[in-house]
Amino acid sequence: MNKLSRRTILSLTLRTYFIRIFYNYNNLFGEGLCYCVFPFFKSCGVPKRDDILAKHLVTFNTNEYLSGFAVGIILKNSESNDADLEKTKNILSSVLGSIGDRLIYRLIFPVLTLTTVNKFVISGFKPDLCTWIIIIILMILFNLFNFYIRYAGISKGYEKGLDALKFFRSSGYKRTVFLLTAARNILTVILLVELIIYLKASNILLFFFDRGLKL
Amino acid sequence: MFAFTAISAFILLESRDVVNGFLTQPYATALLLVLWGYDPVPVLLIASATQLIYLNRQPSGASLFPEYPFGFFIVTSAAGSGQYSLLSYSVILILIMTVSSLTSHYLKIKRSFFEKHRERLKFYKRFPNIISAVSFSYLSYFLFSLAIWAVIYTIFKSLNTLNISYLGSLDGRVLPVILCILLSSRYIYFNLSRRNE
Repeated sequence: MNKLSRRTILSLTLRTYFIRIFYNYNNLFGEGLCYCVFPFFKSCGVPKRDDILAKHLVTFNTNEYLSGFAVGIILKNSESNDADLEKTKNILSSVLGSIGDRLIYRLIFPVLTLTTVNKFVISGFKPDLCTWIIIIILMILFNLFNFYIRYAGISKGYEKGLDALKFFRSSGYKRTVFLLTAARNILTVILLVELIIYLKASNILLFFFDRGLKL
Repeated sequence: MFAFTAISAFILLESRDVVNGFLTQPYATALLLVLWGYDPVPVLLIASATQLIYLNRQPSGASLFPEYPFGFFIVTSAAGSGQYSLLSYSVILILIMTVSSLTSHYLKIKRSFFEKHRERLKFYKRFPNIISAVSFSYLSYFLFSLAIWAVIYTIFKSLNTLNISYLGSLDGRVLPVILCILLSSRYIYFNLSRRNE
């Protein structure tokens, strides 16, 4: 069976949103992984929680946003022997962690943040309707992406196994990274310029020195 | 007071443990404070400065990560509404950084404690259970938020008496704006120099 049912994928996806609450310093995401994979084994008619714990309650690390790929690939390899499963988890721990950190925390999150801070400065730190709309749209877009990458990660991970990770070497992905990097840098420069203009236009410095001189 | 601490606990839960959808970042919770009746200029200035201070940081592995969404909301909400002086802005920003760092240490202690007593706090019938994990986590965050809020509120109450001083009469906006300029410059320099590595 190479594909999961939509219901199972959806159930697994929703569980990945809670993978981090079980994070601990003994097995990192091990407990979270057990929680996430449970619906798969339930649908296979193997509701033996002790078996799941015995197999998956080991040290495992991932990025929470790419945990869908981890779950899908691990489920694909769940029938293999312990040594192969361990090897797969080690690969996932190193690869997904670094890709996720770079994509989300160094690119997507800075672009989101810089866009909103830019809008704050443009509006003179007084939020107008446009500011509200932009922030709400950005939050919706990011969370749609958040859902999609988990769902697609589980689906593709289960279909293709470790080959699903080849997506992160594709030209489309590299082009996306390039565009996000450029956007991040451009937004930072624009922010710098806007802040200097705001400082000049609002006469803060003039007022500041004026009060200082009076004393 | 209980409303702010309840929301702060929720912010900590969302930003660190569940969903992780950037729904409780300072740029979003600042708008919540504005809706609540807080003066938008100082709140958004502090939110912008906070975002830029931590823009280059990323949570990674077991390393301590400053919980600035929580720090921003709890400190700014306790500071109260109104225009801030230079002294107020300075104290708020320092408190945000202090509380954020303190919270990261608290999280480490909380995780170790929960793991030690996982059968009672995170598991149900010897298997990870989301209701137990979320409920007990939220409760611990709520109690922590309550303690922090009480301390910060006391600090700001005593600060109000100092606002009649020289520092208290200067326009404080200069501090977060210049800080944002410096942080943006540092960020672009850091990104461009990393590109050349």
